[in-house]
Amino acid sequence: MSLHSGIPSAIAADVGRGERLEHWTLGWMASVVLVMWLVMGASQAMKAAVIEDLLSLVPAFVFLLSVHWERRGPNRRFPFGYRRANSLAFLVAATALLSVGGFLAYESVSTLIKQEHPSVGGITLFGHTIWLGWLMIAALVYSVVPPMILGRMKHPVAERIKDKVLHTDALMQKADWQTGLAGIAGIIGIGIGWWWADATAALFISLSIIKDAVGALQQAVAELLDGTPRALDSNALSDDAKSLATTLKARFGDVDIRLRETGRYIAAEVDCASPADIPTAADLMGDDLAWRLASLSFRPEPVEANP
Amino acid sequence: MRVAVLPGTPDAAPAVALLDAYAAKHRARLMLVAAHGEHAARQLEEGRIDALVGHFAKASPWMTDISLSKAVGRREPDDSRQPVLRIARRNGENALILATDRAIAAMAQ
Repeated sequence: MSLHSGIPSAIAADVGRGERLEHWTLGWMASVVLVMWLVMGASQAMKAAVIEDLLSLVPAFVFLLSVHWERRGPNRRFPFGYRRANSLAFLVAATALLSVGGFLAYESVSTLIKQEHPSVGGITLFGHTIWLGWLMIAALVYSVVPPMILGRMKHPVAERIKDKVLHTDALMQKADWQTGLAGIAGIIGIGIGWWWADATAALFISLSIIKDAVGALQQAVAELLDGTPRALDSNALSDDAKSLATTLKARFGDVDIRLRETGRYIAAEVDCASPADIPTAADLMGDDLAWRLASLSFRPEPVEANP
Repeated sequence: MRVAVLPGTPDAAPAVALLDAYAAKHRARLMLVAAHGEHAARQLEEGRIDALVGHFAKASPWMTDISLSKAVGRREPDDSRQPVLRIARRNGENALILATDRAIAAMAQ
């Protein structure tokens, strides 16, 4: 690992675990899309679920891409390496989550306004004609299980490697299984004549997805604008960034300190002369999180901003 | 039960018999209603008739507005644009849709 590239050895195993989880996600979710497509029939709700499941592959895909780029070394054209690929991937993942929420909300509202009554008829299998709804429910149950398990497995890994893309993907998986449950409720509703059940359940879930997505987008934009590092699950400042600022002030007095985040790494800038004894990352962040401090710069003569 | 048969459907008898049996099972009486062309499809959409018997292609432009059954009394043609005898049902009338799907499948066997 160099200053501007590579995965720190302290988190290499967890990043590898994150990659394996995302490969599993792509495989399982592709199988979910295939199963849903086979039984969707003419149901608009099922079509929407298939589109949503396809969109949900985006965060897993961009996570794998960003880790691949993070390992690449700096070059003449990109002297600071590709660590910010993670920030870009976070923006893409957050946008995908917002798209899923927005699409679901649009579909639900439009179904309720137009009072669309979904038709679910029969399908003949092995000489028996059964209600297609049973197959849809079976497919939806299948669609709920992988994201529920994978999402729960991703949360602790995302926390350990401070990866907002992986965290957003865990949110996407939550959106997947919640939408699947809403779909099951909707199909049962259709069976008992409640045509509005599916759309109403989906509308409530879409609002929760949109809320998560807007939070993630705020964080992604803050990161790209060199904002102070944010917590993984909210737009509040992260605990380790607050702790680092406190430690730096304790060492160097009441000077200006700027922290920003490049992907999962923190860069710190202190407005004072370079000290004779420069503290190590472990001194400032502790042994567990030392990898997170990618750079510490001192600026003896702060430049006045142009009026 | 109000059923319309589109003009130019000389082979409508098996579909009408199937709907007659469904009506009888539910202690209802089948009533044939005069309707033609797009008016018939609109009447079905609006619930003014319960079923429409006629020749429709599997890939009919009406397929999202009404629920088309499989081909009645014959196997599904290879060409999805070839019109064959089908029963069109109102979207959302899932009990009727499932019952007629079952009856058509039984007839095919």
